Amino acid sequence: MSYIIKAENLTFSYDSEDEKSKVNIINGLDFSIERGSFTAVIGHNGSGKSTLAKLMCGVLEPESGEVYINSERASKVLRVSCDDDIYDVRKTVGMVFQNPDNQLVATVVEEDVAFAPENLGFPQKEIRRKVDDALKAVGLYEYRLHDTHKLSGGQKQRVAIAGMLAMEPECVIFDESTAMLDPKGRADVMNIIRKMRDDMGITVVLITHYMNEAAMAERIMVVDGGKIVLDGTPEKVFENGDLLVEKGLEVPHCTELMRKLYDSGKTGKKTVLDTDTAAQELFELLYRK
Amino acid sequence: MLKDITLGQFFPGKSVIHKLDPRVKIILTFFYIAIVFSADNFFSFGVVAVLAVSMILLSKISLVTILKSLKPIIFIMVFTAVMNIFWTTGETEIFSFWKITVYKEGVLFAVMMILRLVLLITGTFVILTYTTSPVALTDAVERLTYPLSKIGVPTHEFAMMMSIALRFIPTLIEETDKIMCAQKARGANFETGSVIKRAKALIPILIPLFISSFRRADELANAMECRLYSGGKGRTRLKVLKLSASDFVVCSVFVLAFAAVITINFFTGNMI
Repeated sequence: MSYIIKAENLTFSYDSEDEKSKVNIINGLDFSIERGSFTAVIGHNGSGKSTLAKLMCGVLEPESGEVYINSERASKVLRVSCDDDIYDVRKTVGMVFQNPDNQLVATVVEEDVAFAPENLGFPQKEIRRKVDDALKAVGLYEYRLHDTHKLSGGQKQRVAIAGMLAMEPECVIFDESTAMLDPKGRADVMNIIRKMRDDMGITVVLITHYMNEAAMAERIMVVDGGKIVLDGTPEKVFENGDLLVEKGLEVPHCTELMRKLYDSGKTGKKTVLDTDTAAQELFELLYRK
Repeated sequence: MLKDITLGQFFPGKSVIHKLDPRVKIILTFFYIAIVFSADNFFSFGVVAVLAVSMILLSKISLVTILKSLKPIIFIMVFTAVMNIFWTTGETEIFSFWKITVYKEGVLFAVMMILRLVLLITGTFVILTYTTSPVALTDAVERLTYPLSKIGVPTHEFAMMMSIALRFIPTLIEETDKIMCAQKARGANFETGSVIKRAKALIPILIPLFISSFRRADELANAMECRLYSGGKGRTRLKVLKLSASDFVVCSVFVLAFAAVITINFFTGNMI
């Protein structure tokens, strides 16, 4: 498998509040993200995970180091810090933000979704097709003529995702896109994310602080103090429960419960990631006797 | 409370007038104003009145709403009427009382002025404000002013700013409501006290509102860049405005009305 995003010695810092010193938020990161993969990035508030997301899609320019984007459509490997490449970088790597209200541009759903293809200068018929396809993919085709501000948070976020899909990116970064949603909206968005990965072959990077969402990914990167402290499959990452707690995070409740049962020798599975498997394990434990 | 604010008083609908091309509507509005001001006797006013009434009927907006739109200008109408009745001198005297003499010409002129104002307000409101959504209006203004962009006027940028402002009005109203509730919960008082005191009480609402608007603007700019926005150059549109048959029909009706008004003016002459 080839990579789609590769970071090399990535550094970024903000000016501190008194503007005299600098606060390093990203400290020499090296990682790469496989094409077609589903990666979750977790970390507590201020760990640099959102900054990392913005660096990966070219919203922020790295202070030093480089992010390489390997687009299928570009003839060469794109560099985020190169001004000539930035347009193609953004075309390849899309981003869905946290607050659904602040990323919708138009008052009507379909006009908002059309924003990216309009900017790309597609003819009207092409735009229509892209908009319809994107709205169908997020299940909002019936709402295409609705007012954006009258939709629920979850629906607004789905419109934002459709707006990204209409751009036809190869990778989409979700920057805590579920943080402001209710459980129903969150589940809807997560289903779409999975569909994007499985059916459309879009690489997904999910920045989140919900552990059960991170557990759905095939790889988790734990960021703390601008460095990657843990990197691996959810099973591997959640094995290090103590380290996660130390970094201000927690293990999903079902994983923690099953771990405790395993430690006391009651069950056979060391790491359980979802509630269904946990329920099955508990069922067996209770009826075995 | 704040949610009741409507901007531009647009009444959504599917009537013939609603469906007209917004560009045509803007041009027709100016044309209509020209027609109203060129009418100068009761016959030509009759033509304009027929035009206005038929548009009202076509737009399917209730007469009550339209009459309500006249409420803010009642004072101006009364003022103009009184001024014209008492200060116009003419030949035919109706009655004179103390130092004031009222002439027939003055009364006629006053009636005409009121007619003109009523027709002006109802007509333009029905063609433009009541039946055109602010978004369609912005769109039309962008396209009508397109030639200006050739000489360096940033017409696309203005239109984009307008449409984003319109998009954020409900969001910011919601936000204001929220901040007001938050300040009330902290003991703020917006309802009592002198005007100055109440105005001062608004400061703790405006400051957080400003700060959050700037934050929103920043995020929106990022989101727009992520969606490849780079100005109006090379940008295409999902919705392309197209003239339809009804646009031409309505336009011809207006031209006919204008011709009628001019002809009547020419043959009957000025009544005053």
